[in-house]
Amino acid sequence: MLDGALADLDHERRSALLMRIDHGLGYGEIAEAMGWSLQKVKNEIHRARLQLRARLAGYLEEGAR
Amino acid sequence: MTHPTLEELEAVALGQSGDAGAAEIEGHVKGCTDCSRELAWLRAERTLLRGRPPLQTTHLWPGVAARLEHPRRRPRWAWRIAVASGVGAAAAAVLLAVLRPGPLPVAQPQQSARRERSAIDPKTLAALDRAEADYRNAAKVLEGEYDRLRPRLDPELARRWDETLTRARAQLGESRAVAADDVNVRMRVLDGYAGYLRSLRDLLQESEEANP
Repeated sequence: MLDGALADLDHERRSALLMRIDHGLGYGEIAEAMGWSLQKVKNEIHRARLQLRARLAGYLEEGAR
Repeated sequence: MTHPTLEELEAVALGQSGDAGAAEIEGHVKGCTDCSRELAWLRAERTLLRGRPPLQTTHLWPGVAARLEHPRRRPRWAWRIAVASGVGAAAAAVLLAVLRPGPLPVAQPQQSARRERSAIDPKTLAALDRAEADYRNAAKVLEGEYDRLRPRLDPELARRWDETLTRARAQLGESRAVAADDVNVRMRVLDGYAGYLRSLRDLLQESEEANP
């Protein structure tokens, strides 16, 4: 389910999210790596999260308790 | 305290906050439903994403390697286009192997907030290196073709194309400079090459059509 949810994300959006969560990179570092503005990094990660949460709502709610 | 920012909450969730900062934020979170919920989401995300099982990619490597090492024999234009397309396919295979979303072969127990960025499986690294080298070679071929056609182009069109290519090359160089051995960033570099090659291909096709 997680793989499917991640696969549905735009490739760059997914990369940004994974850089943040999986690799612990800061927003500035991600901006540099992706060639994006800081604001775009924040927007893309925020959107990735919204998409991911929508897909995994039940699963994540369980983990969040 | 006022509500912590999202980045502060993230830092707590990712274990990147200092003890004092984390304690203050945790103190606020305990009494704030919204922040408590957000922090719980962030922690759940972290747990899920970091807990993904390692990706099995071994079976994909022979195919990827075969594509990357395919000899180039056709010296004509169609071949040049095919090089770019073939390299794109090879990179797509690498993408499939490396990023099909699953963890990079780096999944390590989380001992620190900042995870290992360099522990790439050697096969992954080798495939990325080969794909990048192939992209570079394809770019050289297409750049050579452009140099050959450029004198026949409308000067203004040629100037605009030059600017486009220069900008693309600069972005590529910047991405490559920070990529190191980070798989995600290396993939981004390959994406950059793919975009650059597409620009070159479009340019050549337009040039050929304008000057048959």
